Amino acid sequence: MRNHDLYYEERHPSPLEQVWIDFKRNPLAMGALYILCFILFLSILGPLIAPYGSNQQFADSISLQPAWSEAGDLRFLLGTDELGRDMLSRLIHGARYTFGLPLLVVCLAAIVGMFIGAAAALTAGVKSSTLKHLLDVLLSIPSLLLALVIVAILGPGLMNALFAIGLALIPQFLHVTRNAVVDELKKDYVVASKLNGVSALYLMVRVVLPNSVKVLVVQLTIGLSAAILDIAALGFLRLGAQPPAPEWGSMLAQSLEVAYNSPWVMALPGLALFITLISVNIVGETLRSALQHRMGR
Amino acid sequence: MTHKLLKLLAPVSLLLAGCQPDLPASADGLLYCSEGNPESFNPQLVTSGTTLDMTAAQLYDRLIDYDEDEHRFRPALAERWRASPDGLRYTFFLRSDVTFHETDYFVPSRNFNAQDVVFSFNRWLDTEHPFFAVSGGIYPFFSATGLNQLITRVEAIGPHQVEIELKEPDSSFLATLASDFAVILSAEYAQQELQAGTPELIDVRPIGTGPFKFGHFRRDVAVRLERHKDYWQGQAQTEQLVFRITPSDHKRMLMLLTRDCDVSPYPPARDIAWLEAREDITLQQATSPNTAFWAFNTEREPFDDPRVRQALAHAIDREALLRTVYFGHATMADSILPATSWAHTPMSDAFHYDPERARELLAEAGLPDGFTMSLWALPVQRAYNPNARVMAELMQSNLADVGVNATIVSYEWSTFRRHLAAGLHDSVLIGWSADHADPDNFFRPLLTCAAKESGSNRAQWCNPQFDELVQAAIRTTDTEERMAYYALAQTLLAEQVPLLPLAHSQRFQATLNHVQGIKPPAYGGIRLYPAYRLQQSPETKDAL
Amino acid sequence: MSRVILRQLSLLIITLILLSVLSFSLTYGFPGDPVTNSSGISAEHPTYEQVRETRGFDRSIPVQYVRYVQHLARGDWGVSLQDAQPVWEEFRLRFPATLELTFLSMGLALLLGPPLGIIAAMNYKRPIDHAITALSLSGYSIPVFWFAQLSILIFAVVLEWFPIAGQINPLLDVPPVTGAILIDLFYADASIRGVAFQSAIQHLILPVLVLALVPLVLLIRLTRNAMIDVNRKKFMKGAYARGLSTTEVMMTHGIPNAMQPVTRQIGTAFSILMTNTLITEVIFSWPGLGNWLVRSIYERDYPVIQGGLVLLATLILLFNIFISLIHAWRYPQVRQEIYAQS
Repeated sequence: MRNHDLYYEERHPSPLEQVWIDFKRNPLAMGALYILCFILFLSILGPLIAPYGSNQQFADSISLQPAWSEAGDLRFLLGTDELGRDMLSRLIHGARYTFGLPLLVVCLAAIVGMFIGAAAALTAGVKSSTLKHLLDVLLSIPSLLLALVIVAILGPGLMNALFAIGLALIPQFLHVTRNAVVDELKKDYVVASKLNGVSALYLMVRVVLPNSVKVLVVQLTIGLSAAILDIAALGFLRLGAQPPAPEWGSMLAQSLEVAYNSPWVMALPGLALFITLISVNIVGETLRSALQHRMGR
Repeated sequence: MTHKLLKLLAPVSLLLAGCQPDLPASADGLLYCSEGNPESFNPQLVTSGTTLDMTAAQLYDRLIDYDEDEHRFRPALAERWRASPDGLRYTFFLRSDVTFHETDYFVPSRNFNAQDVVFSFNRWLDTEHPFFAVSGGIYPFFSATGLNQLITRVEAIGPHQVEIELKEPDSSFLATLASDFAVILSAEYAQQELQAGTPELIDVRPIGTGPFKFGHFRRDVAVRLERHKDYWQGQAQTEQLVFRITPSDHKRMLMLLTRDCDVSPYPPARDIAWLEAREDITLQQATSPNTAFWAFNTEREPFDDPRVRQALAHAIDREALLRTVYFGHATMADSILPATSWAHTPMSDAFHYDPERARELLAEAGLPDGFTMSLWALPVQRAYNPNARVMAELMQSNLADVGVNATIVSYEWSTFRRHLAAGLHDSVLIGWSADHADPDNFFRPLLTCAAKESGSNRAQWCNPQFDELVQAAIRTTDTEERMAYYALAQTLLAEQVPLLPLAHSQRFQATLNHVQGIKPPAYGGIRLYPAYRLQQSPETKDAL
Repeated sequence: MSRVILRQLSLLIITLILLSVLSFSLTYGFPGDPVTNSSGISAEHPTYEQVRETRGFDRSIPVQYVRYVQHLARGDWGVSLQDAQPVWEEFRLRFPATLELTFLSMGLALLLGPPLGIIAAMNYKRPIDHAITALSLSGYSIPVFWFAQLSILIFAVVLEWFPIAGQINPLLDVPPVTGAILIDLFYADASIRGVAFQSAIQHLILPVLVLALVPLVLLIRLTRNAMIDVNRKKFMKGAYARGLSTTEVMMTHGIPNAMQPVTRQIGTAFSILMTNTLITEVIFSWPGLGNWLVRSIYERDYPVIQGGLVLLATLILLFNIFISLIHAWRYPQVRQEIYAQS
């Protein structure tokens, strides 16, 4: 206990805190983070904020242009689609499908992947090398392709698509966790803890994991970006969310039938998707370089 | 440095500016953008309009044709024909100057004769025929119209004379012979393939007598047909005919705008108004006898009660459907039979929009609180219904007004048809396009007990009284008498409401101005034989 | 090196066996009758019993597996449930079409990606670098199916620079021999070959550009990061200190070392590109594998799904192993790592 007090005065910020300090210095990354917070807010409270229901049809205002053009109507800020549904409301409702649900799925996949990955790292030897080979095969196949296989078995549908994406993401988390833990296990401080005679569980939870968390955070953003793209792609191929659900990818698919005369119906969901993805990628990239920066020292 | 770069880029800019390169003379032809792959190259085996468009009038001829403008039958492969006084025996006198296609897989040794007719009919008539079971052994049109039961014998009584014997007189017989399905195949070619051990090829690489012969087919890309130089009516003006397979109606329209298509059938209903306004595009329409309807599964509760069916019919605001789904390009249906038919009897009272009356009827039937039902929506666009999904969503809210809770069901098309034939639905939004001009085509294949057996009766409705009326109507050739029978049949339908007729829509076709000579057909597949290109070159496109 | 090749080959064989087991297990994994799932012959079909027997479905699972592999090797992949066409015949024409698109895009990305990445790294934190980085980040975030549709609308419909869809103007009679349009041209009639080539190139430009975007930006990022790392290394300083010019240093020391981690990742870029091709084919009406596979998933056409997945996975595996071999051949230190590992 006395030792603790001795070091307390000189305590450095934890690795995550250091990264956060670096992160805050980058205005672009902060902007992206604010956008993500806003989208997260929409995914949770969207239905309360949206001016209309996602499937509410206005028979008198079919394919209306956005409000700023001359033919627009102020009631419908971003115009309406071919069935007279408000685009703004649909986009807000859609945030839950295209951002909220993938976020949830990625978190679940991360938890599962971490557990198996940590277990794999601890059980060295034959089992682990077999696992590694299987993983290499799995990792050489993109998550969307894996998700396609799983959807092929389960059949099209939103729940199946989410499940498929979750399953397809697990190997990546597994891989990253395993590598990080194996790397950490070689380090002196872990050996020191072992010599102190701590239990395997303690070693894992209190010693190794806190030091591998930073890698996982980066993998989380990569996974989130992939999950969003995958759910939208499956929706676009009509294998994920089924119409009339306002999932952005499936909105895009439906908009192809009116793309020439109502380009905004096609442009808007794609733009929403693009902004979300670029925000996730900027945040991820900044985190990654901040981490590398810290670890490089 | 600069000039080097320019030199490097020159071919690129040439490619960009040239846009569509000038085609050599051998590549002259007509691009028809089709909405799907052909199921087969033999119309006897299919029902889909897409396949008929590509095959029936292009590759084949029939014994007789129907003249849409003059409303009468005219000779085709048969120069003339004669019916016996009792209406049981027809004799056809065939042309002798008709040649079959000559291709790299078949060289005909003789002209068309009576053997070919006998072969073409016996293939689907005689279940023992060596070709009956080839390609599945199912001939939907002939079994739905009962033609395979009606004809008892087909015989060659001379090299160019054929006699067909019927079980009973049938006034729609000639109309079915003139339909797209009654094509004439080559007996000699069939024999060749049978000997080679590949009989199924006659439906894959077809040989016919039509104005175009088969080139090749690549799934999802195109069907290429070449001109038949010795066609008995004179060779076609276009060197080749290419059906470009483009399932999306929106993409077909865009390809028309960029001149990647010359002809595009079924343009999207919402775009018809402005396509019409464009100067480089001709929009044609045909009053094709078709009916979109809402059929109830009369075998299931509560749809076995006519009062419930009447109530549902009164619950639907069909005006609104016409506006939103057809954008005004259809007329309200007041009978299953389109108003263009001579046997049409309007029954508008039976189907008008009256939610009050609907609620009363439901209460009478013991269902004052309504019920829950499934509403199946056709998953593809058809001439009679461009967007069943939207229609179903509108009807859903109509039904909610009278206390009926409808859930919309849709499957992929082939599954959809399979489940429908099995009768797994409560109700379905579907329709019918006429195969030929006889009014019988709207009754027997759709609503008789035999149709229920063959799986084409969407209402699963079997009413002996109705069957008797339509049978009586085809046994006589007297138009007055037939009209009376059909009026009775339509009255019966208005009382029983096995289905609610919704709309008769127009068939549209968009064509680039420089393609002339074709028009959308009223019945069955399109005829592209008369198509030709205006000689003046189409105005050159600006590069950039 | 021969040890490396041997090791990679044995890895390949193990993985292919695993893949065939996995694919065989789909026969039972898909809902419905396993005989129908693997052969496309439904229970009502007259030849059903015969197919059941030849595929060993009346015997034990290991026998069924062996029969399955035999059928695969023989090219009997069953028939499609949608239209009863032999699956292998259809793949034979579709797979080359997909490969053509994929390889052209990959080639373009490999041609442009590394140089742009090096340019960015050489101008580290200068405007050029920022521009290239921004471009690569947005390129990485753009959903390819949206981008494809946007470019069709802009470049094909509004500007009319390129055709909307397809491989070639169908009026030109180019018979599908291999399925890849640029190869098929050589089988076409000589009189139209020139025009057909022009038409084919026009049809290719838009899809290839759209598809090349993602691997391109990936390669830019990888090259840039690797190059920046290498630039910090002491041997680079040493090289400069010996008085070599920037070009000499880059050509002899910088670029070869920076390309090492990039080469390792080309396989990943290819896999992502492959997936994007599958999606984008639908938009460009490209008669390839993806177009058919996606529809088959929607219509539950199991023989097609099963065959398509085997093909795709095999291709991705082969490409990855090819890249590993190149990697090991060019960079001996990698071989060392492999030996140490095994």
